[in-house]
Order: sequence, then structure tokens, then C-alpha cells
Amino acid sequence: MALYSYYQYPIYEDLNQVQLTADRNLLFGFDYELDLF
Amino acid sequence: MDRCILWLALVSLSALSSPATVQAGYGTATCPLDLSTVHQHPLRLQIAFEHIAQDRLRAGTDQVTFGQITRADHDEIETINRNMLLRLDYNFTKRFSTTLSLPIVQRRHAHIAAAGHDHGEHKHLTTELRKVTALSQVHHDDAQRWEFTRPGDLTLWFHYTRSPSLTASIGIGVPTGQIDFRNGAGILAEPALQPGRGTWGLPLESSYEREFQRSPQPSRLFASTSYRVNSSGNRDYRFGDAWLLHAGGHYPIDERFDLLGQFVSTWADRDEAGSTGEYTDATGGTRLYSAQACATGCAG
Repeated sequence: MALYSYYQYPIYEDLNQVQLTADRNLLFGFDYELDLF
Repeated sequence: MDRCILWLALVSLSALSSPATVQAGYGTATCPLDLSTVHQHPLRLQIAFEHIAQDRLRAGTDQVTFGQITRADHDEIETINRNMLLRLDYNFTKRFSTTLSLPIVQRRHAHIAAAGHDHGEHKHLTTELRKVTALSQVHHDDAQRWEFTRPGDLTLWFHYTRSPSLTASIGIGVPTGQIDFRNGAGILAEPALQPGRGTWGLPLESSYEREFQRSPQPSRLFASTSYRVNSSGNRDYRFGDAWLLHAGGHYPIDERFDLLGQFVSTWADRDEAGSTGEYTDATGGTRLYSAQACATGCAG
């Protein structure tokens, strides 16, 4: 089992016309591995 | 601890297999991260939660303020995304494996519709967003908002590992997400806001990774690139093709903790409106992200 958390941010953006965007993305997750057989 | 994890796994598996996933989809925003890593056991479950608050406006490479640039259809206020990502990996053999992924999308969006604009069938109603409406009375006549939690589009991947470090993948994006969500006033959300795309997708991916033996754990560098082609959907609306490039690495600090980092470049083509009457000039663009992470392994 593994736990992880990401902090992601844009360092360059070139968007068509005008769009909403975020100055940071946050992600928290976990992986769980198991043997079925 | 084991019981808790197994319970979560069963819940997730049941979510993947229940009829509710027939209502699934993709959405405006997800974190463009490569979360695929080598797993030792045949079956792996990944559950991730992401928070993306799209609350600032950008035109080209410049940050702009609300009302500085007006759109023909509506002016955006914010989109808040809180998604749960479910991913199930299974290795049939050392060379062949498959992945099933499904986002559960929780989205809140608000914009102010331009006077007279109709996303096909809108009725214009005033909402409680009076503060923002007051700022835009010259150009707009009302504000609208949507909020939902829905399953997104299912994606099924097939992977072929040519060598321990080189993998090629082909996927199928299944239009299982809802595409006709309406808010409490009965106003249909625009296609990019819907939980699902309503179209089949063909994603292709190749990845390369290399391990470097070091004590106490090996470190790892990887690069991957993917391209997704979308078919036309409801009333021939077509989401633009998208290309992603990831490069990053894992660096173990000690036996339990890893530092992770990756750079991500994304490019998306403009959507095609088909016969929907939507304005698609404010879709697509190029982005470059940096991401840092900390990971820890726990005995299950």
C-alpha cells in the first residue's frame, strides 16, 4: 500500500480566447496491491 | 487496517461494475498527472482525490479580470472540481495488462449568460449571484450555476510491455457519462461542463521508464506521451484532440518515503460545435505544469 499527495501548478499557459484556470491542483491518493490467486 | 482497505476496494469495485457507471463521464478539469507506476502484484487499486479550483481568468498568456474580455455566450465566474479517480490495474502476464479507470466528478460552476444567448434551449433566470451580476449589467442579463456529483466516462486501457522499460497502450473512452445535466432552473449545462463527453475516444500512449539501483530503494525516471482522438457526439459536438507529455521521477529518501516530481505538457485543440450553436473559441490551449509529491509505503 502506498499513500501519496501531489501539488501541481502551471508554469506556462497559453489559452484560446478567455478561459477559467486554476493556480494549483491538489491530489491525494493511495494504491493498494493484492494477490488474487 | 486490512479490513478497511478491503472494504474500500470492494466499494470501488462495486462502483465500477454497477449500472450507475452507465451514467458516467469526463469533465472540464482533472489533474494531468501520470500516476502509473510498476506494481508487483497482479491486481492494483488506485483511489485518488483531486481538488481543482478554476477561479481565475486567462486569455492567451495573460491573466485578465472579470469583464475585461467579454464572450459572446457567457462570462465565466468559477468552476470548482472535486473529483475521485478510481483506477484498477490487472496484469494478465508480464507483457499484457489492462487498466479500467473511472472519475467520479463533483463540479460546481457559475457563469453569467450574455443577453439573448441560448445554449440551444436556455430560459434566462436570475440567480442569487447578484453581486457579480451587478458588475456586469451592461453586458449580461443573468447569472447561472450548476452543481452535481456524477460518474464520469469510463476508459479501458490495454498495455503491451515490450521490455521492462517500454510500454505501448491503446484505450477506449466509453461515453458512459451523463450529457444532459440541468440545473434547478432546468437550464442545460454546456457540453464541456457535463459529467460525460457523450463521445467515444481513442487514446494512445507510450511510456518509457528506467530504474537506477541505489540504497535503500531504486530510484526511477520515466517519460510518457499520449494522444486522444475524440469522435463527434451529441448534435455533432466534438471535443478537441488532446496531447499530453509527462517526464518525471521517483527518488527514495529512505525505506518508507519517496520524493516524486514530474513536468507535464498538455495541448488541446479547439472543440467543434457541430449543430449545437455553442461558441467554441474559448476551448483548447497549451499548458505546462510542474508537480511535486511525497509518497510513503505502508505495510497493509
